[in-house]
Amino acid sequence: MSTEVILSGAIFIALALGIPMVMVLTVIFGPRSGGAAKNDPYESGIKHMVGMADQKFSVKFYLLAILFLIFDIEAVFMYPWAVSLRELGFLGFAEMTVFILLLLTGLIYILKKGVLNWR
Amino acid sequence: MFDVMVILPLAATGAGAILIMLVAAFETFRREGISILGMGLFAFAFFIQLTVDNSGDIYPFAEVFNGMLVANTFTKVAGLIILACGFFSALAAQTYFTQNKGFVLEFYCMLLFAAFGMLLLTMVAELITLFIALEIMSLAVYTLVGYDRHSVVRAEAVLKYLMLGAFAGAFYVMGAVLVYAGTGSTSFAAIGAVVADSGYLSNPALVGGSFLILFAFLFKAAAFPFHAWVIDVYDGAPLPVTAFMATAVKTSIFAVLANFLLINPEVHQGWVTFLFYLSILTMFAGNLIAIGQQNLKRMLAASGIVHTGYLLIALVALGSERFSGGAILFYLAAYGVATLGLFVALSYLSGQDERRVSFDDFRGLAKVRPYSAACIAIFLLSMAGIPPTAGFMGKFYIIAGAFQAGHAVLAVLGIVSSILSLWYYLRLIIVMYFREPEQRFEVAELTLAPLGTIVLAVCVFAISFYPVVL
Amino acid sequence: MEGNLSSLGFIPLLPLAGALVLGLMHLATCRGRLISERIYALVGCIGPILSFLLAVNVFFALQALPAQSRFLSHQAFTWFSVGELTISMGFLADPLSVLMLLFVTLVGSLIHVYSIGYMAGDPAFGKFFSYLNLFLGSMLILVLGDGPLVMFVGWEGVGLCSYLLISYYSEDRGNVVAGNKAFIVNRIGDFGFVLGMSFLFWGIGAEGFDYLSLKANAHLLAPTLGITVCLLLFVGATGKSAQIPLYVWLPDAMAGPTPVSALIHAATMVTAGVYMVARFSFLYAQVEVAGLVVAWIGIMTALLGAIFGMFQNDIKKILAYSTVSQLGYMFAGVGVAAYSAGIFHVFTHAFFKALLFLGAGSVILALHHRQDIWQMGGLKNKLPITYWTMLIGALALAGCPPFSGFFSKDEILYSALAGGHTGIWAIGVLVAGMTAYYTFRLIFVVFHGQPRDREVYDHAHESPKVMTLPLIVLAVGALFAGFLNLPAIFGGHQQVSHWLAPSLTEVHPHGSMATEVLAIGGSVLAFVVGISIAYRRFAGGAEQPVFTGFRKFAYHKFYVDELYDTVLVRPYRFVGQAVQRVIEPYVTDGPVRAAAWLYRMAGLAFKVIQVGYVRVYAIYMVIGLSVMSLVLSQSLNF
Repeated sequence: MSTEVILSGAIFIALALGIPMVMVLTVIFGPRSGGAAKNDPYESGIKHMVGMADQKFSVKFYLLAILFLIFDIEAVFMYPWAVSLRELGFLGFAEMTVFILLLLTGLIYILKKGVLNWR
Repeated sequence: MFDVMVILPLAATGAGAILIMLVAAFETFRREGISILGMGLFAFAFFIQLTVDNSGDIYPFAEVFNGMLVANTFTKVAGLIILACGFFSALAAQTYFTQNKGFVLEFYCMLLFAAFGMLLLTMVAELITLFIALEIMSLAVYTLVGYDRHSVVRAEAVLKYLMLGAFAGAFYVMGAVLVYAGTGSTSFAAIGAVVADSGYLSNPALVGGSFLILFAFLFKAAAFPFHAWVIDVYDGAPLPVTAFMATAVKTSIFAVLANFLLINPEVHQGWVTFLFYLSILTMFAGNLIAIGQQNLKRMLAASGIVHTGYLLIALVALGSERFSGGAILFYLAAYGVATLGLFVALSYLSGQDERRVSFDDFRGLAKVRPYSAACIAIFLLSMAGIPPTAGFMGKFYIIAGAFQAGHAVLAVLGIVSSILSLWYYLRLIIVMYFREPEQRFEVAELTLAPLGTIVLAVCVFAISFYPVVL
Repeated sequence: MEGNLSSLGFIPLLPLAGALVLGLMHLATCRGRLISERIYALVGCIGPILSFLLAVNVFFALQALPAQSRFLSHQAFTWFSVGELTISMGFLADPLSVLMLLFVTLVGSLIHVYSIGYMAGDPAFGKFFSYLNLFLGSMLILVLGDGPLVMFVGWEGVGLCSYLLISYYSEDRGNVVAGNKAFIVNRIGDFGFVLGMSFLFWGIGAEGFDYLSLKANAHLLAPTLGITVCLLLFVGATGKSAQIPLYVWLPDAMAGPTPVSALIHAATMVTAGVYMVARFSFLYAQVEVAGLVVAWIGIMTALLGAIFGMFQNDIKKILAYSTVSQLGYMFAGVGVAAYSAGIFHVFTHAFFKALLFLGAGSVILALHHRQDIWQMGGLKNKLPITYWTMLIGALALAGCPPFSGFFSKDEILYSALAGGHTGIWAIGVLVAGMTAYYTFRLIFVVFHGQPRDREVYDHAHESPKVMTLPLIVLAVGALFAGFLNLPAIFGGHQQVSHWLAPSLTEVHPHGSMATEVLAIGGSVLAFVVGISIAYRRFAGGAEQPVFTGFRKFAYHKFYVDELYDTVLVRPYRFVGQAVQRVIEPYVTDGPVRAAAWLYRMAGLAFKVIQVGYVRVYAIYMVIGLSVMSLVLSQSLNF
């Protein structure tokens, strides 16, 4: 019985028992505080989401938020690239150009689809 | 330069997807035009894939992009199968949308994006790239399942698929982390080197991690006991999408699974027993689920589980000194042709808004539409593995491989399962041929799908003549 | 020593492609006729004719080679490979197969052309040509195949086409029954063929299963196994080539359209058995006993066919029995190891028998599908071209000296006599006399004398050019084909025998001059006697005789069909019914039904598990994962 053996046994036991255990434990020990505010689904500021499940509501806000995230990440992605641009050389420049162009087509798409028009 | 050549088909597929996205945004084409464009792009990528010469032997792999991707005959043929599946799914969609509502121009764009992810998935040799490819594919397929926002059925299907898929994806990431912890690398080659150096079973993090990764793959391939989602999702998805999921997704998953298991013979050896029992359970669970179904899509989904079981047999027999990748791909091609054929036929026979999808709806089809019925019968017989069809040869190669690898029990059980599967395949044939027709099976005229059905029916026989080196 | 010739693959491919195109055209338009017969005819004839031209080309290519290395082959593709053994779809052109190739494509093309006229107005014109093309393609695979397996593909293909075409007029139940009979009887023969092939493979097949390898290894075959293989292969031949005891299907096969009778059931397919025996001459030459069995069965079939032929009233049945009889001759020839003589008779027979059948077809068409010879008579003036060409064919069949049949038949009889098989020779001469008798009985009754049915006679008319032209070409063949193998006694060089020599394993017997004269004299005498009896009885215009005694017995074909029915078919059917009524429902079905019930119940149980709640599915996954982890932590055994 080496330490590896014990360790690997532990991993599998943890997998086998841990996951079901967590599921059971949340049911037992999870806080169950009730109340109007608690049961009210929080939907990013949209009120009164109670009723039919297929009720219609505007998704413009979410769309905008997701689009912001995408272009935000794009910008973040460019920082490390910019720092190591000299080492990456021309190939690195070409790759980033392709990346930006791909995002550009995405931007064109959402523009044409009218996602950015807040009506 | 070789590196770039190898990913040309990938680039073509991706560029095609973006092209269709822009075309859809500018609304240059209507439905018919964009259908033809989509099919054309698939065909174009197929021929590029065909001409790209990644002339390596089947094994070992040629590494490209610093070991992030591999390219060989195995990945090339897997890519060909995926693109062909994409082409015929697009063809089915073209017909499907002549008699079903809810078409969006971006449909073909998502189809191409999914194919892009799949092509990448067949070639990956690195855990992070693998995850990206897996997610590109999955996200596109989620969208395809649920593109029709007004349909409750589609919404339900996509919700189930998305939730369980995310669940499995989380396990994958956990597994990748453990593997990294155990080996200090995410590259297949480096992991293989570590295994060769210090052994596999003595590395608990690696074993645990690869178990979780395997779990994620088995979920995507719908192996027992992770198969439950597949019935509901296949049923809920639109017919052409079901066809695409049943064939192309399975192809890419099995390609990457084979690549992963071949990191090192020891890794494969460690999972043989596990895969052995899993393949048996998967085959029989699939059969038992299939016989209870009344709906053709659900039956086909269940039979897809059975075929996953067969492919797992091939994985058991997989060995680096005797690479049975040829058998896997042959089976996938044979299964793909038959499944696509059935779905292409269904895409025009099901009529307005998928009216006819249960066994009883096809009563007496042979008397009204003899050619369609004959083609469907051919596809079903191929799936059941009746000679001289491609399905028979596929099963033959897999079972012969199992025998050669010394798994006689597995081979025998494979044959038994194939006999059991006749139950539900023949059932449809009996319904089509020995019942009196109750309806005229009116369908939209002048569509491509009947032609595609016949082409695929011919392929069922043509493929069976294609020899495979075991 | 082998050359490669890729055009070989195209020879069978062209008719097969034609069959496919015609079949698709027919299927596409079977609801309403959109395509005219001209287009079908053009597509149908172009494949056979191109094949013929290619065959001629192959012939010249082969002729350019030195005699002992006349082998050209082409491996089209690998058919399958199991372990060490690789079987490819290979074609072999050697003198033997090229000779067959030439006359099969030539006669085939002519009959295709003839069919344009004969089948005109048929509602399924395209289907007919599709089948005919399919037949020709299969026949060419049979002839060109480079090994027993490829030959078997063609062998089964022609059997299928024969079945399809016998039952072509499928509205009539009798035709369907005839087709079934042909198919089933042939299956019995095929069983022997497959068994023989398996034994052969078991014996010497491991080193390669094509003719050239087999020939090289033939000496390794154990004698007993050799006899078994030869006899089993011959069983296959008796089925396909209508020999005792499996000849019964061929007369019934006349239910098909007449061009089919001419092409399949006279000129080409039925000679496949002879071709097969000649192909395996290297085996038969080793085991003399097998050869003797072949020869005696052949000559007895010849006798039986001739007896039946003398007492038939249906014009096609007479020709059918004469085919059986002539096939018997061929087997007698190959049986006494005179392979080239047997094949030469196949060659000449193809011309004159196709000619006679096509002539008969022309008569039948002229008389609006009447086939009873006792309703005909005096047609000589009404159908001059048919008459003269058929007369040439009849003279050739009867063995009249300068005509082709004389030389080939004489060659067989001479070989039998010179080889010391006096009995076979004597029966052969007797059969030759009978052949002359029944052939001219047909000619005299149909064409000479007074018309027996005036109304039919008045409406008779000569057939169109598209039908008479093939007749003329075949008549030329029937007249002159014999000179290709002129024996030395007439100052010839036996070119055909020399041509075939590299393909065959045969020893030419060296008979004396006296033997040769005796053989020729016997044949000529038999011909003269036969024809004079026929002249005395029928030339003046006889009426339909009433058969009594032996004649009635012969008219009813010795009641062989009835015998087979009583001894084989009925007991078999009885056993089948017993199994169906007793054993199946109570013995075998019980466990099967129980198993099926269990299976269905298990299926329903699994269906219940499929609840449709996503949370339940997630729980399944977690349970599965947990169980698997536990099992793994036990079994991986760190």
